[in-house]
Amino acid sequence: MTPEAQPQAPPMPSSVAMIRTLGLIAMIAGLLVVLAFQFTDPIIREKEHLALEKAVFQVIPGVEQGKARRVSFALGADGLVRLDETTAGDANLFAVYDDAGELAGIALQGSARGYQDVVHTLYGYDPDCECIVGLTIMKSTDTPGMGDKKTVEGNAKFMANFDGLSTKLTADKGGLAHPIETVKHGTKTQPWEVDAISGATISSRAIGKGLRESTGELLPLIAQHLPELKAAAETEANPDAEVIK
Amino acid sequence: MVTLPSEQKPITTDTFLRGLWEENPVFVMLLGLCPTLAVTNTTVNAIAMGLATTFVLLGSSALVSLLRKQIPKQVRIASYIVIIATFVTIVDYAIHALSLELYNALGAFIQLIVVNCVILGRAESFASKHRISKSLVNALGVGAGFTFALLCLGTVREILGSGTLLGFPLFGDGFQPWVVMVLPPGGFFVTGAWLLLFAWLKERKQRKVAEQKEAVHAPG
Repeated sequence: MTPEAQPQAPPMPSSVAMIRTLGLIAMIAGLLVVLAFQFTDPIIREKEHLALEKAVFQVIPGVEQGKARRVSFALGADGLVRLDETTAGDANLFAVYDDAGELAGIALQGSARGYQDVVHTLYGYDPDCECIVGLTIMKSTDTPGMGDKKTVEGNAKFMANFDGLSTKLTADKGGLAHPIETVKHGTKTQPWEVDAISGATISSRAIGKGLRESTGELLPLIAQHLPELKAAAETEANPDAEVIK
Repeated sequence: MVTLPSEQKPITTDTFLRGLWEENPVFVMLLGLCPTLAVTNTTVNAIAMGLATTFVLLGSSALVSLLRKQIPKQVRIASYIVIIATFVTIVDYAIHALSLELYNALGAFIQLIVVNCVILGRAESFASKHRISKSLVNALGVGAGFTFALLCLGTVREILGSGTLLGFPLFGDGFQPWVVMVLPPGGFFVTGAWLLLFAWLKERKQRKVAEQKEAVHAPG
């Protein structure tokens, strides 16, 4: 091969030029992303807040959204922490009080792996009857037409499972007397059993499992903190996130 | 006759129509099939994904075209990916702010637009070689072609799989939805059927052209 026929490699640009270009692009990217975030963040927060508010009042029957009040808490082994709107992102318990300031119900979150992805639910708990009084699906990507939010929530028979689903605690309030169990469609015999949807057993089991795990962990803690929860309507949220031990 | 370099050629309707029809990213080039199959179970999802991809195509093509003379060849792919990721992040925030329901339905596929080869392909083969106006027109054509393809799939899958169109029921209560159509296999079936139709249309057109040529050259 003659020297003229050899392919000519393009001249290598200096490292400074490459760093300068990448730096410029990163700067433009950063600016655009921050601008988009600044503009959309308040809208996203507002929408999520409204969606949560709607869901909380949906799972606690007998209260009017306009008159009742919701207070967010973070409940864990180390105590019950009352949260205000700015810290409500960490909340795992939403207490609803009627216009007289009485505790009307508690909304809690459940989640377990479904057919496609994790199914997130929100359910209403009534500490007086020690039972679940309502349920809504917050997020599910399970099969449309079988296990998705619209189909599951549209199945009146399945939703009836969560109207008084028993979550009675043991005598020492240390755990559930009968953990929630999802059973095959048409075989429910006990008040703590969830009758699965025929054809969407995996989604039904995910909802049941999410409830079992969440109730098993949180209901004994709620029993411990019930007097504080009942009294919380009378006190305003402490900005320093007061811990009720 | 003087041939202009590709960068200086004027914008024609072909600049737009090429991406929409002749080089349709889904039906002709078979690019970006992952979101095509995954999120076309309803018409609304298909439109949203198509528009989101078009926005990213427009934004990234504009920026790549603007910076084409500054980006050294050695770091071009890294630069394109950062630019594309920027617009994907913006569209991700925008969809989240517009509708939580839509955001949840599209799931990770919005973020996955970053790796949609239609967009990187446009940046590499067109925007990096043409001026901004031409790149934008081309990107709009490809975006429209992608949205059109997604819409073709989404409409058929929603009608057959759920018996609805844009959420409105089309048939009576007696309709038994063909659930497989909204499941992943349905995506393959419907894509296959559309590809078959497009191949048939192309073949018919070629046959007609050949017949016309023969008629012209025929003796007598």
